[in-house]
Amino acid sequence: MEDDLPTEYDVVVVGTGMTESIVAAAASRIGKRVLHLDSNEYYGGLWATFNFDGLQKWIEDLKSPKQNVADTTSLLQADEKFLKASNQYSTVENIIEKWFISNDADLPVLSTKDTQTDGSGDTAANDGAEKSDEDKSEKKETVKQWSIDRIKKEYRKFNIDLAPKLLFARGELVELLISSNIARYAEFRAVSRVATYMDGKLTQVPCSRADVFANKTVSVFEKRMLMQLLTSCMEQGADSPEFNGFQDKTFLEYLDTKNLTPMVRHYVMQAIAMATDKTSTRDGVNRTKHFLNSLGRYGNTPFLWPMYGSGELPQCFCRLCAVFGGVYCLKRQLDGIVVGDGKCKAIITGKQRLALEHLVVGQGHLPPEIVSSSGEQQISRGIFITDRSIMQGEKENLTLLYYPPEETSQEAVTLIELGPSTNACPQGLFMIHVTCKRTKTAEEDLAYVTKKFLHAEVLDPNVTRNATDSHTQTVSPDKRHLQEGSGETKDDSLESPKPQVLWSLYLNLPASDIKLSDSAPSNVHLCSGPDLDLDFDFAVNQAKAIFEAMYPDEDFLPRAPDPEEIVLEGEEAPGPQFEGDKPEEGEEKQDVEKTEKEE
Amino acid sequence: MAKTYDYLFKLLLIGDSGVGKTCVLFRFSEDAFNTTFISTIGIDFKIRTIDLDNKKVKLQIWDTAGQERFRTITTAYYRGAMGIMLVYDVNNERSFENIKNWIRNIEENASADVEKMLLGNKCDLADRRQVSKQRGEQLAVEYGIKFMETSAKASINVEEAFYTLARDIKAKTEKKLKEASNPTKSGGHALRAPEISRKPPVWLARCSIL
Amino acid sequence: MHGRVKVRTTAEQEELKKIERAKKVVQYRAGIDLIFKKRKEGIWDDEIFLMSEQMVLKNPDIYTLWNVRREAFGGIKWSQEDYVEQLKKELILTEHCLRANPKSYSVWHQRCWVNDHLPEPDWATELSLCAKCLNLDERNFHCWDYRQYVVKKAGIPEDEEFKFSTTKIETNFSNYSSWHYRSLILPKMFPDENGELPIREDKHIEELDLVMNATFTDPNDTSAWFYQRWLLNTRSTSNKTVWGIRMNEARIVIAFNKEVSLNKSNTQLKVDENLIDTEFRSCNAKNYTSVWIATFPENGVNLKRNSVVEVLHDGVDYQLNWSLDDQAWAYKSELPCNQEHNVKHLSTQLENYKQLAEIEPDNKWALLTGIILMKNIDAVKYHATILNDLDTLIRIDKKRSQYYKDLRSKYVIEFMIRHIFADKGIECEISQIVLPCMNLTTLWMERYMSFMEQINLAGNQLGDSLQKLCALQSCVKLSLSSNGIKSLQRFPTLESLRFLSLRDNKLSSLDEILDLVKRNNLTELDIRDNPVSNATDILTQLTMISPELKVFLTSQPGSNIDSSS
Repeated sequence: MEDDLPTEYDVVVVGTGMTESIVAAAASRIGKRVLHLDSNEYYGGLWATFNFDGLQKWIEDLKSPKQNVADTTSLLQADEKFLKASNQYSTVENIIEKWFISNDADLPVLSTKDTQTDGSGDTAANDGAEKSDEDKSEKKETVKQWSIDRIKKEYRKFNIDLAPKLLFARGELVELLISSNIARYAEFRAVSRVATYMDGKLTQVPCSRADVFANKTVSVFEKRMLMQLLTSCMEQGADSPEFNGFQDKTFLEYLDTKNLTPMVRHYVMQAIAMATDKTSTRDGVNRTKHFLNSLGRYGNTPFLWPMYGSGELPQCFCRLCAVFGGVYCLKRQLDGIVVGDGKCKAIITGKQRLALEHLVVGQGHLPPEIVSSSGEQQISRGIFITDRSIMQGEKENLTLLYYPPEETSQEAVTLIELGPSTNACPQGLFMIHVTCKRTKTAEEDLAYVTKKFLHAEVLDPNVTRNATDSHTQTVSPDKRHLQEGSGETKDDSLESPKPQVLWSLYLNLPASDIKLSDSAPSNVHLCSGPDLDLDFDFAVNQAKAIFEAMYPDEDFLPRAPDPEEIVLEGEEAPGPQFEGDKPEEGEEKQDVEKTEKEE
Repeated sequence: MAKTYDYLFKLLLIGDSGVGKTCVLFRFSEDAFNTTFISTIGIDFKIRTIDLDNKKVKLQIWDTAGQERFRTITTAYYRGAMGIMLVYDVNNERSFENIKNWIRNIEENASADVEKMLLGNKCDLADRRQVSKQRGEQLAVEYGIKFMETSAKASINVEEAFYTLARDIKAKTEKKLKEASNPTKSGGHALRAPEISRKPPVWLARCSIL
Repeated sequence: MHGRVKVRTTAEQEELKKIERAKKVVQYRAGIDLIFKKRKEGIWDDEIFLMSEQMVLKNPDIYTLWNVRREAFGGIKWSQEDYVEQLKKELILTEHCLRANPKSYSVWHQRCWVNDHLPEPDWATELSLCAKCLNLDERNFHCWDYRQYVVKKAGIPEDEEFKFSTTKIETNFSNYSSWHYRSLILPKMFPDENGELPIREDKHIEELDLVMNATFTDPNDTSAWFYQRWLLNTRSTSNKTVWGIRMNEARIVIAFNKEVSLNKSNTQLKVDENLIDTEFRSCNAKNYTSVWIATFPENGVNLKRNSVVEVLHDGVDYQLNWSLDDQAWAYKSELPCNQEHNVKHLSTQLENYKQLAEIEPDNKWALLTGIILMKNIDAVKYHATILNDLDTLIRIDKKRSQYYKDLRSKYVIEFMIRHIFADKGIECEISQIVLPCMNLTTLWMERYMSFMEQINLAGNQLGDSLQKLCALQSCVKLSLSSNGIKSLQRFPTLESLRFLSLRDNKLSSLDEILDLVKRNNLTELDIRDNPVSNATDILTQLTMISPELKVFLTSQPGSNIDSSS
């Protein structure tokens, strides 16, 4: 009966996505009995991070239909209704997986030294003691090209995100991680550059004061202009008289009154505010402020990336929940909920009826009866494994690029490029995540960006890509001049060759705008899946709201004690007196976890 | 704060529920034992600093927080771990058999070069024994790891086990340090509470005499 | 309940802390007592090291403990090996202490001491310690100082340090220490041969551009502007130290182009090849000054019109000639002039800063830099603009208006002096300078007035800063009327002075007037329109001191000093 769960809870949380996990941790932290379930054998749901093998399994699983729910009538009482759970609101569609490289068998026997994939270059700065063993094994392989087999063999060195998101250094999540002491479960890397595409090439946007100072392409007046504008957004805020008369106008219209040079205007719009032509002045100012607020805390950009992927973060909250006594059970499906007297009284799972006060449920498990709108928005995502960075630098970079639509039919795309030091991929490779709002299919929506920045065509195994100096920083102006002079089209004027895609995956995911119907029991709380925003603020705020609705008078995730603060009562006279204790104690010990429940 | 140690090792305890992981942890960290421990509530990890060859080694030992019960240990638990104590109960055959599953779990999630050690706990209860010492030793040999029988209750070998594991990790670390020309840590940022800092944290941190 | 896990409450933690603290105090007292006892008795042993080690770890700032440790190093008879070993331990200890307090004078000092005593200090490690420490806080000047020490000891090439300072500035240019470090290294790496610029011309341009980037990025950061001031601080140079000499039977006055110290070994006076025993004294009693005087006893020097008079100073022979105008032997030379440097580049910068001042109307630094640039480019051409901008600064930056007023005074005086000398030429005697109503708050280049006989400073704002008048060693007639002077305490003794106007000031102390008359050999003194002129008995008392003195006390038509010149 190992799989039997205790049957009564204050809070049952179904799904281990970001919002669900935060709520679970918060409830457990204030002493509530929490059960946290997930039908998958991994944490995170659509927020998960997989290694290469795990991702393949996930794709496979999507193809096979979920099992049907067993008969539950015996578990119901009179006047109770059973509502069957459904996964229809977390449907992943249009999955297209492609390889652009060959199997080992198809590779030429003697491959030339392949400078693009040897990994000793771009990433040398991050060779750490921890990795030296792996590095050594890799160095032997440096002459080998990347093949399908090799990627599959090194599956553990990949961490592939379903919901890649960044943290603002002073955003809601960072503050929460710190204030709750959950930060100790995770490590982060600072995004090292914010890039933008301008005049036919990618450039790094100077965003910190130090960047602006050291930048050599911007004139001193542009520096002043940029700093002046940023300072007024930062220090005055959207309500300042500075923005009088622009309340109903767009940020772009406001910027147009400032006599900015095209470059400064571009930096502010497309990299700092990440705004489109339609963004209001208020939003533009607030976004700029948010960006600047987070600068200088952990790095040269305002952003952090969780090591090993975004999927680590829900797990951190789950760990805290467990530390405070929350019960965890994966691979356990929610069959449905029991409703009576307008409340959700229990859930049925694995033939067990589990009573509860509150049900917190992710959108992938909702019974259709209580859903009012199934949500309009969807996300288009593309994931690419490449052989080099979109913008080669002297060291490995973690890059954020915002690319506004080229045509009205397109959506703005955010691109995050991760290197090996984030553990997203092995040495010598890069992982690119692109995200936008869905209009058609993921592949169609993202095609224009893929074409612009990546070389996504099948690689002929017999042709070695021409070696370029992988260390050359962005272009020297004279080189650019030459290229323009030679009459090449704009698209080709990207300096170094585009990254070769080795593998790609396109998929469409639901975004988070499902609403519960009015008839839904008031003790059922809906957690959204990943949203379109760059950061986690939506999930954090939703979790706060749910917790507030459940326990309005309780603290939300107060600081968890450090180990030094935890003591044994009566520890002044510890242990030895138990030496002569009766053998029954042994029995008790075996069931330590059970006895604790009565405490 | 002054750094009061030379090495910091993150260690994990892994094994089935009820094998006495928390008791082992408390025996080592507090030299205390009690059967009424609320096994893992509120206990994240314990810290003990030991002396090894004149070096201060700070051991940060993480407990499973009960997540092993339904095999729901988070992948995040394994991150950065340098040593793992695999614990079974010598009086519980199944907990011993499950060690293989746990090792598979470790191989999937932990760093490839993590130092492992096998502990057969509750060896003081001789009359109930289901797993002989020999079988324990044999399994350890199979995986090429060290083995000890322990009793958290009778305080047998717990100290020795942690010292052994710590010593092996230290040796490995020092060897690496010697080999690596630049022994920089490859880890990321840990987020910390805003320290009362002299530096103004705003982006416009400037010198101004007026 | 026994054995149950719980979290300590805040009150419990407070209580624990309290107990800890009390324990610490007791331990500390006992430790100090023991250490002092042993020190007194000269017992240097391991225990004293151990005890003090534990204590400095907790209180790294107690320098006495470090003193004791250094004494212990000397007190114990070590084998060379043990001694080195112990010193190395001391390095580890100081490192631990620096982690706790990276700004402890005592600990940094101890570390220097250890390295000074180690036979083979590991400078590479020391340098990386500095780098680490500066990564944590790039403005820790203790560490910058220590770095300088290491660099010097280890003979680390300056260009490496230059690169280091560049990376630090690129990380955060709001850093006085780092800019300052640069100003120490650069002159060593790229000295200006003429000594007019702080560094070689091409590097000067590079640095000016670097700093311009900083000032445009954040014009309100003072550290960059300060460095810029250092860069723009050009010096006028002259190949001669002595600017002019006047000598008659009674005395000799020498004016130098810079402040010097005179003594018998570096300065000699010869008349017709005969060494004259002269006792030079500084005009303001300071060791280094620019005007020196010597008086001769009666018949002390035998001077004839055709005497060959020469002054030897620092190995240079200055010939004096009889001057009819002066009725004295004189040596004259040109005023040292400002060389033009990088004018084209400075002009571009000037354009930029003018625009910056327009974009940032409240920024005084941009305006001030513009002024200094104009001064360096062409002080004469820009004179009116410079004064105008300074007036603006005086208006908008009230806190430092005095500084700007002084600067303005300096520029005005320099302009006037250059103008006069340029006009009249070197051979012509310039016996007077008229600087009335020019809002002067201070005197400047006064050394070049040391041979002038009439000096009119009426209607300025010199106030009580009168000490610089000491250079006016030949001045006979001096007007300081309407200068807001309240006190004469700093008024120097001027041997040649006969006519002095102090009309319309705020003098109220009769004693000061009496003292002035005592110290100076005046024939006329105008103190009308001062509170003191109403003092009872003033005339009587003055006449008692100087029966010949003509004093103007109340306004009356007729002669007065100001109008007579």
